[in-house]
Amino acid sequence: MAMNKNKYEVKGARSTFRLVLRELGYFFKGAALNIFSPEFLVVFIPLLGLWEALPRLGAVPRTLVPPPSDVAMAFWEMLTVRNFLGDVASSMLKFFMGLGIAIIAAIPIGVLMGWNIAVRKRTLPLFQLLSPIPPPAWVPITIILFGIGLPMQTFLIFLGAFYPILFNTYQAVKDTDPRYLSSARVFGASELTLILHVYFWHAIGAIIMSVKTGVAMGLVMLVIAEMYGGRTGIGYVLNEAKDYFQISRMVVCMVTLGVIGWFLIEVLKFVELKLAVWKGVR
Amino acid sequence: MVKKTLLALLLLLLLVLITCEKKKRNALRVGHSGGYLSAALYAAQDSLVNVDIQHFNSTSDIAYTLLLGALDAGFVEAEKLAAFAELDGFDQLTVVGKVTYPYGATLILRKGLNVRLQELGGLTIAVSEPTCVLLDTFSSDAKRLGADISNVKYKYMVFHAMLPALESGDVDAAIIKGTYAVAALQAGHSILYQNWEVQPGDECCPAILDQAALVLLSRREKLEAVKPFINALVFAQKSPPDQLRQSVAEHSVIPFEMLRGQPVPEFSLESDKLLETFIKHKHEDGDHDDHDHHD
Amino acid sequence: MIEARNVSKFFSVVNEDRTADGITAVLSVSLTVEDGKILSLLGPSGCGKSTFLEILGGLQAPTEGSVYIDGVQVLEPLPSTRKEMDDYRRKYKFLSPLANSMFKNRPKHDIAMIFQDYAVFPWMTVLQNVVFALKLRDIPRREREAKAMIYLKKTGLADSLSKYPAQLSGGMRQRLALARALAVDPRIILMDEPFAAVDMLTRERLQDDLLRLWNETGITIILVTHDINEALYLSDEIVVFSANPGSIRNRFPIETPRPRRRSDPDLLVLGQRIEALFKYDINHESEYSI
Repeated sequence: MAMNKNKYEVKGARSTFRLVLRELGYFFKGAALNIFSPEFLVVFIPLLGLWEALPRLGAVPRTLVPPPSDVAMAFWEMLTVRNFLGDVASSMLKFFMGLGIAIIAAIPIGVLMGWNIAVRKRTLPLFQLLSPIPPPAWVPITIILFGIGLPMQTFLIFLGAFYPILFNTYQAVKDTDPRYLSSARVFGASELTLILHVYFWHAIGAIIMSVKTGVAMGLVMLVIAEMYGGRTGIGYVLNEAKDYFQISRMVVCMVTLGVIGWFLIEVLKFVELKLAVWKGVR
Repeated sequence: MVKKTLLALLLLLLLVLITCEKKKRNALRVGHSGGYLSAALYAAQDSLVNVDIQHFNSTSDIAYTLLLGALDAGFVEAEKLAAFAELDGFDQLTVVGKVTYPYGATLILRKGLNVRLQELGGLTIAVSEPTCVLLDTFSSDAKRLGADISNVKYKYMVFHAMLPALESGDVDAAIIKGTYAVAALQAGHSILYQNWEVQPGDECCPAILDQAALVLLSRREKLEAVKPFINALVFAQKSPPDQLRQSVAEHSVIPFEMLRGQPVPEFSLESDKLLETFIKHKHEDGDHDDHDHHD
Repeated sequence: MIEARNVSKFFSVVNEDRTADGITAVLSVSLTVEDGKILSLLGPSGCGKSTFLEILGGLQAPTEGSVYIDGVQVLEPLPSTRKEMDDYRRKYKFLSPLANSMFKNRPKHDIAMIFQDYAVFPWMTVLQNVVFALKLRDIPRREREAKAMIYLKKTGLADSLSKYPAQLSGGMRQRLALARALAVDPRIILMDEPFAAVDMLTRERLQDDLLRLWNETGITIILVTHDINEALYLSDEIVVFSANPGSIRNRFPIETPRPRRRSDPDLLVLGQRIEALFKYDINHESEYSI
């Protein structure tokens, strides 16, 4: 790992910038190709057409099942009149705070639990007892502890993402092949070195996988959290649109959440490709 | 042997459940969102036969359920009615009653905050609009009582956002409609000032809306079945105010003492004319009902 | 000098029906290996020779007996009484006795080890793998790369520095393991069937590479194998293990001078003797089982 770093440092800021640009290009190209592949478009476009046609032909009530064109118009109206991007930004702030804290907390704890049986015996039962509690069940006590607002919402998102990351990390670290450990130990590796250079890298694939699960759970909790308190955010707009019978706005929020989730998964896939490059090569 | 008995028992249970379900299906299904405004319903509840009263968290959920036909009648918030009327299938519904409640200017203090009217300076108060009869009533009353409110900060938001704002500490106080007073008390906030002598007739408290808080909607095909239910409500409404409050206290978690100082909500018969009034009002107002939440 | 005194290793295995079986993997093995020799541990699979090798390397603690490398005990035997257990727990706290230390990289003994597979880290490139081993041996940062290059050149990997192990052939991967083991200048290399996973031709080339490098460095090599020809070609002494329980059956010193021919008649004769020994054991065992 050290070698790579040196190489980049020598290259200088300008080419680093170019490198970042190039990687971003790869990322967006790859992500776009996933959605706009001919194979998928063959399925997607007829589906979209059906969705547009059914309400327009009166097969389903249009005000209850708005066609995509209505949804697009509602989206445009929300962007221009209501500052919907502000809501998206507010949701993303909460989401990334929650997810970030979950990652920062769960990965080290998971690694420690997987690394050492003494740590595991002292902590695992606690997490095993707490984790089956469905995260939404935490809402009332969270409101009591944090009141209503950003800390409570962040905490709920954190709760949603924490356990999947923790358990997957722990499991993957625990399952590290003992022969990797043995060969490093014979060379004199300390436990810290083992954690940083062997356990972690052995588990990296599973960790990224678990962050994907964390993203999904975090989005669930985002919507739930935004139903309580606060007057911004996609979940709030979603619920408000429901309350005031604006179905197309509801659909805009749902689609937005879907796109955000998809985008984050694509980002993680890309991160996996970069971090676990050794897994892909053959 | 034991298995067979268990199986027979299970089948019996299923049968009983199915008959129960059928019996319920014959009953009139009524949805409401509870609270003080359901006073007439609570008072009538015990005398009602063959009525299945269902509680919902939000009146829009009642509206969707009505539309679906899973409810025969239900109370929907009056301010949501015009938007609701635009949905397909609303023509199967009709207005049969309403619950009115006086506007009443009410100043709610955040939980734990303990100040007098004269000490409001520097605090942030949520109000619905800069020109609101509730605010005007409060200002003139404050002046009369010798309180200096010149350096109070105002934050503008729709009424239903005020309690959450109090809860999260965004504002220290809120000037609300009387309908929200009980909910505020229930949440642990306190009432600092209340004046029921409000002259309606502006943007935030239109006279035309007749101070209606809830509207009772019924499916047209169930109109006959709903009639006895409505009559029961009207009859219950005639009980003395304290008895109405008592039924609310009995059937919900709101303590009687909390209701004592508050006027009683009034259920009365109504027709689709009210709906027309609402829709007309909405069109006159333009985008007023566009519940813009960005302050 | 490596000295094993009465080394035994017992396992207990819990069966599906919750009964426990004791398994004796190694039973009182005593062995002395002189510096600079190549010693082969030969035996059928499952005869405890790999376990014995791991005990030599300090990767498993013996149940009884001790291993000394240059007079220093590798790992103390596992506790057997309750009092010993308490002392043991107090001594090691939450770190297992296998661990070197919590934060400081430092080998307990001057050993390197090569496994059949999984020896090299798949998440590091060829160069990084060797540099990592050097880092663990406290070689200054600046010297690491140069030193790694020396051994990578010797093993013919200089052209594949930035490749990942998954991109290498099986033979190249084992050469990388060899380069990494040699780069830290160990005095002893323990090898657990190092060439078992590669094809015949590659194996013979790897064996020649190993002998050449051994000649240059003069390290002690202990080699676990089930390939009789490999043992004959490489070793100064063959120690034949028997299974159930794993213990030393015979020892055959090989005097044939190097370089040896694989078709050397002396070696072939010895090979046939060892093979006959194995066959006898297998028949013997089957008689028991009938």
